[in-house]
Amino acid sequence: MTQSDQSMQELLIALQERAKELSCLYAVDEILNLSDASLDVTMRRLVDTLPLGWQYPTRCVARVKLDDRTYVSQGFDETAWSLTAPIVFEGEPIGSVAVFYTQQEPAADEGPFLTEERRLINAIAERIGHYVLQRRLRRMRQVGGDSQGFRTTAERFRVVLDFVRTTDRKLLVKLTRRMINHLGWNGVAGAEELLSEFVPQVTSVAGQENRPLARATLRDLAALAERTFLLAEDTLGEEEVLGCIRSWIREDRASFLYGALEKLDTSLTELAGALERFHAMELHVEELPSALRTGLSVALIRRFFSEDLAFIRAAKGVVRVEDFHDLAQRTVIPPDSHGKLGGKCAGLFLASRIVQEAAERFDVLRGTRAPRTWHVASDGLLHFIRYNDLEEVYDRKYRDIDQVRQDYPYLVQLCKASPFPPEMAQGLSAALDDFGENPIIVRSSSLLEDRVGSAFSGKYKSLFLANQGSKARRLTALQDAIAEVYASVFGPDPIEYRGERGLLDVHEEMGIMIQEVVGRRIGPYFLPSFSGVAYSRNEFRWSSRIRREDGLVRLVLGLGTRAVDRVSDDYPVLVAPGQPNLRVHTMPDETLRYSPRQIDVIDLQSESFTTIDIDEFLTRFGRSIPGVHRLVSRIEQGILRKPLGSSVDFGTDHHVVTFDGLISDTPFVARIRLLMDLLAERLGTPVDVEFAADGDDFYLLQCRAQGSGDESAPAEIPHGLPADDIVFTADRFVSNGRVPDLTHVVYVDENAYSALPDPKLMQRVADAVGRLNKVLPRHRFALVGPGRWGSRGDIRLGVGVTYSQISNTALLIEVARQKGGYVPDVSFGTHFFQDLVESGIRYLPLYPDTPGVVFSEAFFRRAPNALVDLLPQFGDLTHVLRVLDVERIAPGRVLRVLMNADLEQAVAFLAKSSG
Amino acid sequence: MNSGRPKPYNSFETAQEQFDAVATRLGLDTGTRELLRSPLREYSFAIPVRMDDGSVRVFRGFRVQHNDARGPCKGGIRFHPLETLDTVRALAMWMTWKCAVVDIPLGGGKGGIICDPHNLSLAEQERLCRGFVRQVVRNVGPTLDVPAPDVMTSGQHMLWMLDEFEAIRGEHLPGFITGKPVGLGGSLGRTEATGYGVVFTIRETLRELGLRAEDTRASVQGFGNVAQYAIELLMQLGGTVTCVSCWDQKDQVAYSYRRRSGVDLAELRSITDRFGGIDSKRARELGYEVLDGDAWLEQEVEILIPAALENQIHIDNVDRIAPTVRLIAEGANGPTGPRADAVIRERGIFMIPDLLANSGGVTCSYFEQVQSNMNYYWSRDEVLGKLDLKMTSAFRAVAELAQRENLYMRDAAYVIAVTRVAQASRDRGWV
Repeated sequence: MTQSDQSMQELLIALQERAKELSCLYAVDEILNLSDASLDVTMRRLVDTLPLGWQYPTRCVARVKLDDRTYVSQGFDETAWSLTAPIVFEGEPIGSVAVFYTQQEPAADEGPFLTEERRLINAIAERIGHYVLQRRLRRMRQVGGDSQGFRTTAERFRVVLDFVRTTDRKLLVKLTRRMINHLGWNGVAGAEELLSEFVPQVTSVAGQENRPLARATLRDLAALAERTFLLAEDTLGEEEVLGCIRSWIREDRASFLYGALEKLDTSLTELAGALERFHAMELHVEELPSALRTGLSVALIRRFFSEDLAFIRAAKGVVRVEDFHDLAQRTVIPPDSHGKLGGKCAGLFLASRIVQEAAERFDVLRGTRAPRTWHVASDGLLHFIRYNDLEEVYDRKYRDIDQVRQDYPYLVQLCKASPFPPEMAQGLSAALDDFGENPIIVRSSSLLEDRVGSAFSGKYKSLFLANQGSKARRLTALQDAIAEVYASVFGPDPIEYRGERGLLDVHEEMGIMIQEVVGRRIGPYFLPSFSGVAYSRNEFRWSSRIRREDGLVRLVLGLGTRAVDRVSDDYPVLVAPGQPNLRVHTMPDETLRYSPRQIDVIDLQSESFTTIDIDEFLTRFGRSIPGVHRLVSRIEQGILRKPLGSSVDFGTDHHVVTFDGLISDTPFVARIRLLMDLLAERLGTPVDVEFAADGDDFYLLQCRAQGSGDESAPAEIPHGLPADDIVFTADRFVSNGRVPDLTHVVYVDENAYSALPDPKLMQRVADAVGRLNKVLPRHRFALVGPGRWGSRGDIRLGVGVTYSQISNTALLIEVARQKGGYVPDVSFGTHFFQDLVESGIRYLPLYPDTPGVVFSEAFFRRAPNALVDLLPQFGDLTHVLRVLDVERIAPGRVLRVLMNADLEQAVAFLAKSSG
Repeated sequence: MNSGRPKPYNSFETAQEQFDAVATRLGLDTGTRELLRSPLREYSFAIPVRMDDGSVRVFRGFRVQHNDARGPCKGGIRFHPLETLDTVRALAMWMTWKCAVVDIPLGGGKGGIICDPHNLSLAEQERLCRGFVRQVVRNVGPTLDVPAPDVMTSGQHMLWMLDEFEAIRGEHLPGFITGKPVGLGGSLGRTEATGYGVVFTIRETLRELGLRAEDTRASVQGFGNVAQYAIELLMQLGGTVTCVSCWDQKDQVAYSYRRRSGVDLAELRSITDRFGGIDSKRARELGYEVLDGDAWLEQEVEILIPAALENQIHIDNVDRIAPTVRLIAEGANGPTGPRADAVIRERGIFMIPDLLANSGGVTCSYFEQVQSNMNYYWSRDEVLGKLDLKMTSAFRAVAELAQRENLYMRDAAYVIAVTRVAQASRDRGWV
């Protein structure tokens, strides 16, 4: 076959696709394209195939008359209920094709036949005519040795254009117009003339005259089309012309989706329908022009997720139209919904697309996926409220917060007792069919949640469901959980939180994400091998060698709840992906002390989320955890050892969860590092990501902008503060963090402390600090002291407090003074680093001897000391230990500490008290 | 400098002052005093280490050999970010007395590296350990100076050091270092050694006081290794432990658990996490009274065993010690403050000082070295039997001296230690 033939063939295939709704045309084409078969064989096959394209195929028969020959299908019987089309060759009828119903059928558009069926039979007749043409051409070629598939270009295009004209006149208009424009843009002589025929009276440039332009009428379309395409073929070449037509036809096919998207009143249900139709067309989306692809993506992003321009910018290059089809397939949509899917859903959707795309380039990302997830559109909440006449909840947010708090339990019960609208119940039922008996988690995905600047992390509920037993039971449990999440929108904490951030007046809708829990059954429990949360920026560095960009991962065994939330009496394992070898704990006893002690699982028997002792779990079920030898280390005689092979004896040996093998012997760190870098780069912001692994694959569970949490947002550093108000500044190892306004500062004078003649006195300072920790306002005071807080052994290096003696402070400051030409290391809080992290105590080192840094001697050393008022028994320590009551030093003011890691700057100054 | 201010605390000067007091009591000659109040040898050196990122950092290391008149020096190697030579000197001197009081043929030494291991990867720590050995290889060894784990160093660090030492010397010399795991030159019985050692001295004290173990009750602060094994052996001897106190990580306070009829060790161990923390809720369910953290001190018992932290008995709480208490055995280092110590002495309570009471640990290290040197390893019972012998005779010697010279046990222990070292130095003709 020549190249031209091939192009023609491709074009014809594209055209046939255009008429795909006429399902049997494929079969007809196949038969007609078998060029080896004789005319008789081809026609006999054809008549047997034709009935399949009609509405009642079992009662349909067909007949083709061609020249003097007649072909009929099996059981042919000529009846009155027929549809006939002439077969035309070079303008002359040479036969006909007809179908008959063997019995009377219900009346439709044309007798018992549909309009579509009329179009079908016409197209088939046309195809047969074309087939006859091709046969004759082939014969001529064989005779004359002509190397061209068709005799002339005119002939070729006539075939194409005739086909389009008979099947879709509108399309012909579009194709002709676009080709004229295309010719014009390419500066082809003659294009203007064609244009003036297409749109007569184009004599002046539109808009330059003050009267409306006359409306153009199109005269002989077929002739114009033919001339246009002949001119195009002459000037642009056949390949380009065919390419253009193919591309425009595809565009045309996708246009209905665009239309649906751009119409503001298209409901989500209709949109889902349009996506389904688009999907059924089996279009190769990548062959659509990129502008169209982008346009569709943007419109879909806007409808499903967000109007936020930054989000759209990040998403439009990555998400594909098909992705939305999959998404819509798994979305529970209330009737007439115009809702969205919420921030959590958007973040995960985008992140998993970015990773999926990158996995084609980076092996280490293979096997990274998102768990199966269903969604409930955000206005499901409104629908639920309307259906149950619960409208009185709307104004709760404007009521007194104490009242909100008081009747919240009642509201929860009310929501749980309210039935779901049938459409939603049906959708949820489909979701459960999809999940089977896999445990699921119901998470909120609010439109306010996870937006930059307002992380509602943990403010709304997330509920685990064991999802076991009969369908009816599971459905009840799922509805119960969703009702509870819905109620949480009107709970006191989110309302208070929104109030503080000026978000009260925003109309609160709430999307729901129903996600399968990653993991497997182990004993009576269900859990992932490990889970965690990763941050692009490390706000809790434990060594001066760790940079902020090295990131942070919090890892736990089992469900990730213990890594995401801070539990003060348990510890996740921390690792900085950029410096995986610098671990927080270096001694086996430290590692042991700060290792995870408990594990969160789903208990399939009691059907509940539960926390169990890790030792007990490992002894009984440790061996069943996939890859457990990478997750634990054996502790024996004070030495931690990774298991040698893959067998681990939990019966006799004592193990501790360290993730040492995972970190040093697997691509885990490389994967998480690349993942975080990639997401931060593509999303244009540092991110935090929740993940879990089930032993086979690595799952992304959530992805959002880091620093959206109130704790770790960089504070704006004010300029032009009065010098007298500044208490200290810092410019090294600053982390991001919001410190509550401070009412007190406890200051241990470095000189006086190191000059204490007896370590017992130093111990007494620690004791006094411990007492202050109990009497000062909780989380409203800072501890400022020399060198290393929590020093053990040699307490000259820093005050030898234990964690319980500082547990109520808001900010721990270590002062490093130059000594004999060098500045000693500070501890970075390592003595109780993880306790600080878990309880949200901020840490800051100060270097007062650095040029340009402020350290107000007047404040620290000369302001009145309140120690004796608070703890008279420690009167002997007043020269070492100073308690600075800000209110007393500067009435009506507080000490405000602002930290900004991006600028590597922190400042503490006396500010007007806002409370 | 700062003439108007009090002088900053210096642990070496404090150690020297303590020594001076004993030397004066003993009437030591000037030469002996001079020799013993300062280390014999001090090594200070640079350790260049290739870091993971390819750069080189130079660390400062020390090894101090205070006195080896009685045998090779023995003492730990510390990793500490603000390590000073003076601290190492003080600790080396302390080791000399500690080995001498329990009468093992070893001298005192100590070493350190200025570093914060939190800033170092494991690979970097390994290179640092090997670098340390390369610098002191000529001056240490099974017959010269034997290191051990200490602050921020572990058995793993010791194995790296041993391996480097053996590689340089071209032979197996497991006696070079102690604190090794069993199977790689370590000794059985090490876990129990300190706790058992405490009870060996208690047993001997009861004999002195004419008490039967069966007639005594004890209250213990702490529930770590030392405390648990002390309780275990005490109960085997027939004693009753009525109260145990320990830290509660969850509530961030200490609690005392009391059962007047006697605690059940196995039962308590079954509700204890691996950090020595007892589950307070389950303890209550098992019928223990859960009292405040200090309550262990005021129990009506005959024996108090502070086996947790420093400075737990101080002037503010010493009066709460019940009149029934006959003896205190210091399982921890420095649990009694100096003013409280004076009160205890005044009240005539028998004190087994830390130097003696908790020397089971260093004795077992000595046994480890002995076994390593002959490459033959004893059974656990053999180790603990030998420990009993050593501790018992060490106790007898101190107690006899105390009685003969009418000394407080703490002073007697110090006096006997200094005497033994001074004697050995003199016998060798050094002074």
